Order: sequence, then structure tokens, then C-alpha cells
Amino acid sequence: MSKVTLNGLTKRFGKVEAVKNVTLKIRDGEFVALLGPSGCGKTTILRCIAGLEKPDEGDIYIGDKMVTRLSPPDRNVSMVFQSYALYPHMTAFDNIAFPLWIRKRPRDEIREKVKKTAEILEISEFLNRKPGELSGGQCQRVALGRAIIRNPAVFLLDEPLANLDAKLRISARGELKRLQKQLGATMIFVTHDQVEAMTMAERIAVMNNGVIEQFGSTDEIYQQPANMFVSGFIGTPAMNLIKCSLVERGGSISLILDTNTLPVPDSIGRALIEKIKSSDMVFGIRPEDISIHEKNKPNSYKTKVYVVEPLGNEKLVTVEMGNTYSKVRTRLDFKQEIGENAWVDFDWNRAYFFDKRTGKVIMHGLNKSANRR
Amino acid sequence: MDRKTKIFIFLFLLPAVVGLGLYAYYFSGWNLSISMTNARSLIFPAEFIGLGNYERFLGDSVFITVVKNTAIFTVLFMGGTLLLGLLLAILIDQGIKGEGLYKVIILIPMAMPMVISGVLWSWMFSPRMGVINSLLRVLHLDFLTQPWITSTSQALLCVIIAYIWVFTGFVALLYLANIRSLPNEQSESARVDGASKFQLYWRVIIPQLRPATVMAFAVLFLNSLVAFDLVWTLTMGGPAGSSELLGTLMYKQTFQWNYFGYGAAIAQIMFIISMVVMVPYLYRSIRRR
Repeated sequence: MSKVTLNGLTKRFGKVEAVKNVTLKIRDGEFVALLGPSGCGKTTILRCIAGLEKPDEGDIYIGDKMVTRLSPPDRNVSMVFQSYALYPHMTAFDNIAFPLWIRKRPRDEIREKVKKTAEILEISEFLNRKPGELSGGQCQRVALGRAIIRNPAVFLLDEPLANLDAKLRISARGELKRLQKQLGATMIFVTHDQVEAMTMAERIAVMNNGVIEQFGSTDEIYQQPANMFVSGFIGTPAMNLIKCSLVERGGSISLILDTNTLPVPDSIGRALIEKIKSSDMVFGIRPEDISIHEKNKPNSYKTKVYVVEPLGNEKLVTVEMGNTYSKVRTRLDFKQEIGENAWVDFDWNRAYFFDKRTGKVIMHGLNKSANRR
Repeated sequence: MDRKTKIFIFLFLLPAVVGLGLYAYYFSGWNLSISMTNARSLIFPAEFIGLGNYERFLGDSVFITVVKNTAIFTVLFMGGTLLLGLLLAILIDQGIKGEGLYKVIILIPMAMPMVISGVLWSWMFSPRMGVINSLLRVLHLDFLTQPWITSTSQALLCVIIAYIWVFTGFVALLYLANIRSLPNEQSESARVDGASKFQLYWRVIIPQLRPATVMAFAVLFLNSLVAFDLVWTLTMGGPAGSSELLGTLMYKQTFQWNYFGYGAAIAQIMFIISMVVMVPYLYRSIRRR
């Protein structure tokens, strides 16, 4: 098991810069997700670590050894591909044995190791079947088996769960996480699914346009997003981001959303004024941090119900505030229907403020409360 | 489907159906009927002699020679072409520069009329003026010069080499298309797992080339059965029948010696052999669809 370090990694395809000067330090035995929308460069980073792509600039270290110029087999990494890349003409046994087989290990050793690997992955009874006779979940385990049999320094997984059906994906998430703990292995996986990243990884590198926007624990990524992109990418549904400007009138501070005025608690307003350069900003609040009421309440804000989506255990209400729409998570007994009025108020301690131009976070309520403590 | 559409479909299919009916089915039937006569031409009336021609052919001394030659030809031609085609495909698969150009070049022999290829190869193999022997002489390797097509022991081999040359490019492209259709991840995964180039092809890629092999097998087998034009221009089946194949024998019997009935019977036998191979192949490929 080894740590993995990327130092100023850049990879270009023609004129397109797929990965831009990425630096990333992954600890020994850590489970890390590279998360981002398609085309953000996450798979390219994985392929660079595997040695399937040559970076144009920067260096890659596995353990303390620089591997930038080594060929894939000399890096001691295993990779599980999104399509699993199983060999269709070989049985599950032969697929798992393949890495040892080509190293010309003794037959007994191979049989022993395949048996052990199959036991860990609970696929012992399928070993004589070919990939075409296995389900998606079984194929995925065979691919994992082929990766772990060699006991590599680092595991690389490219969208390992993407080809599974929704139900299986949820159970596979847990199993993969347990497997990683059991092996104590350094695992890096690529995903575009933030739930997958949140549930499995210890730390997440959120990527966009070839750049790592934020690298941190799941809590950090969720509670202290570094910028608008991260806050908008994490959470289902994502954080509401509302363009607004801050004004101080007659001693009270408010946000102007379109033509509406939203008074801000004094402590937060003061802190904001100290930090901002321009009054234009983006106000961010998660759907669960908005309360919605059928009747007017002091300090609440009048909106119109745009759509109501019942989810069984709760309702997701989209409200119209001027020209912007915000999602609100609420209890099932919320009665208002489309077109009716509803009043919302915000948990200001969980509000975020972003610089409209750079997208960077200016401050968030949590920060303040954390400071107060 | 309404009536009008049906009529349209019928009209569009008609020329193909008529052409196929006339050239494939009608003439096949005609050939069968001639093969059961003692016809010496296509004009004068002939007598029905049942399976007499077939009996005569099976008893003919040339029968053994021709069957032996055709068997040797089929095995060496097919084996050589499949092997060389595969090697060529693997070579092109290495991502060499100018791949498109190579693909065109290796297809040229296939695109050329067989007769021209035959003439070209007869220049290569000519014992006195031929390219190969002249080259050997220039290199002072005179002891290596061979009688080639003038030798009873080498003529068939020369024909086989020429046929391999014609079909290798085609087979290579079949294999290349098959290799390229395999998911790239398989090779990448094998590379990460430490497989050498040889192991990658031997263990992962070649076992998955069945579709191209089956296809090439069918095409090559049919061509080895009907092999005629190149043999004719190179050796005319000679010397002394040493490169005589079913095709050349049929031609000689029919058009040189005017035993039309006998020639038709040989053609009928070729037809039956090819059906034995093609019917299961077509059945399988149609059923898969």
C-alpha cells in the first residue's frame, strides 16, 4: 500500500487541456474519489496514474518512487475499468488468474490465490462461468478480483458502479467500502455521481474543467464548499444559488433579490460587509435549510409555489421568488398547491455567500458559528 | 403494408430476382442436366447417360491427382493466407504511420484482375528470365535458383504462393477490423496487469478473432475450390498435370477437348463440395441475425 502524489500534472489532447496543473496528495490506505461532471478530466488523471496516458507536465509519485516515465506494469497499480474489460473467452477463474498467469506463477499458487480472492468477493461458485454467463454485479466482482489478486500498491477504479442497476449499485457501494477497509488499500475511484463519492470516499477531489476545485473530507465538501461549483454539485437536490446584492439602509442590512428585499440578521450582515469588495454576490442555501409555511410569519418571505414533488417521506417544493426558483425540502403535511402563496424563512447560520465574479465563497454562517464556539 | 408499397417492393426486387434466377438457378440446373449427357457441344443433341460421367471421373486416373492437388492447394493456401493475414493485421495494429496507405497497398493484389496477377507471377517464376532467379544470380546465389513453374515438384507451390499473395491483404483487413472492434479497455487492462505484447495477442486478442477467421475461411475455401484463372495463366495445370486442380481440369475437358458433359459433371462435383461448406455457414450466419 502506498501514498500517491501528483505534482503539477498537466495533460493536453491536441489543443484541449484536459488536466491543468493538478497537485494532489493521497495518503497511504486512503479511499479517494475524483468527482466531477463528464469531461472534467477525472478519468484522464486516473489513466495518467495507471500509465495509460503520458502527462505533458508534472510528476506522479507512488510511495516515494517517481513513476511518471514508467510503463504501466512497472507501477504496481491495478485498474478496474467502467466496462470491467473482462476477457469474454476466459472463465471467471482465468480472468482473475490472468495477472498471475502472465507472470508465470506456479499453478498451485495461482489456484490458491484465486480461491482466496473468490472467497473474499463471494464468487466462488461462479468461477467456471464465462463473463457472458454472469450478471453485471458478478462481472464487477470478477473485475475486482483480477485487480486485488496481485496485491498492488494502488487500486484505480474508473466508474466502478456505473454499469450496475440502481438497486445493486447501493449495495455495491457498501461492499466496495468494506473491501477497501478489509484490504487496507489505497483506492482512487472516478465517479460523476456525488452520492457515490459521498457515501464511499474518505476524501473527495471535486473537479471541473481539468482543475480540482476542492479536495477535502465529505463533511468539508458538503459543509464548507470552496466555491459555487462545489456547492452546486454536491447535495441532492443541490444548493439553491440566488443572485443578489447587499445593501445597508437605515442601519439594517438586507439582500436585494430582483425587486424584493430580504432582511439579513445583523450579525451576519455586519460580517459580510467587512469581507466584500462589491455588493453583487450569490446567496446560497440548501433546500433543507429553508423552512416553508402556509401562512405569513414574522421575518418570512412571501413566495409562490411553482411545483410540489412528493417523495414519500418528504416533499420537495419549488418556490418562485421574483425571477428565481428555489427548492425547499419540507414535511409531508405541507398543504399548498401549485400557484398558491407560501412563506419561507432561512436558517441564516447555514447560509453561504459567494463572490459573483470569481465564484469563491466569501463566508458562510457555519464558519461564524464555528468561530463563536 | 398497403398494396402500392408491396408492388413497389416487388418492382425493385424484380431485376435482382430475375438476374439471380437466370444466372444462378437456371444455369445450375442446366449444368446438372448437361452433366448427365454425353454432350460434345452445346448445340448438337446429346444422349442421356445418367451418372455415367460421374462414374468415369471417379474411375479416371487423373481423379486422384486432382483431388490430391486440390487438397494440398486448399490446406497450404488457406493456412498460409490466414497466418500471413493475421501477422500483417497485427503489424498494422501497432499504430504505424500511414496506416491508410498500407491498407490500400495490401488490397491492390485483390483488386487486380487475376489474369494480370498470373502474368506478373509468371515473370517472377520464369526460370531463365524471371525476377527471382535473376535476382539470385545478381547476388551470386546461383546455387539457389530453382526451376519454379517448370518443375513438376514446384509448380503447385508456385501457384499457391501466388494465390496467397492475392488474398493475404483481404484477410489482413478482415482481421484488422476484428481486432479494432474489440474493446480497447481489454488491451489496456492487460497492459496494466503486465502482459507483454506477445501475451496480449496470444492470450487476449487472437482467441477473440473467431468471427474474422470463420468469414475468411469461407471466402478462402470457396476460392480454393474454384481456383482457375491464376493457375491457368501460370502453369495451365502443368507440367504433366502436377498443378492440375478441379477448375483447370474442368476447363480443359469442356473447352479444349469438348467433353461438355464430362466437364459439367466435374463442375457439379465442385458445386456439391462448396455447398457442403457454404450451407452450414450461411445457415449459421442467418440464424444469428
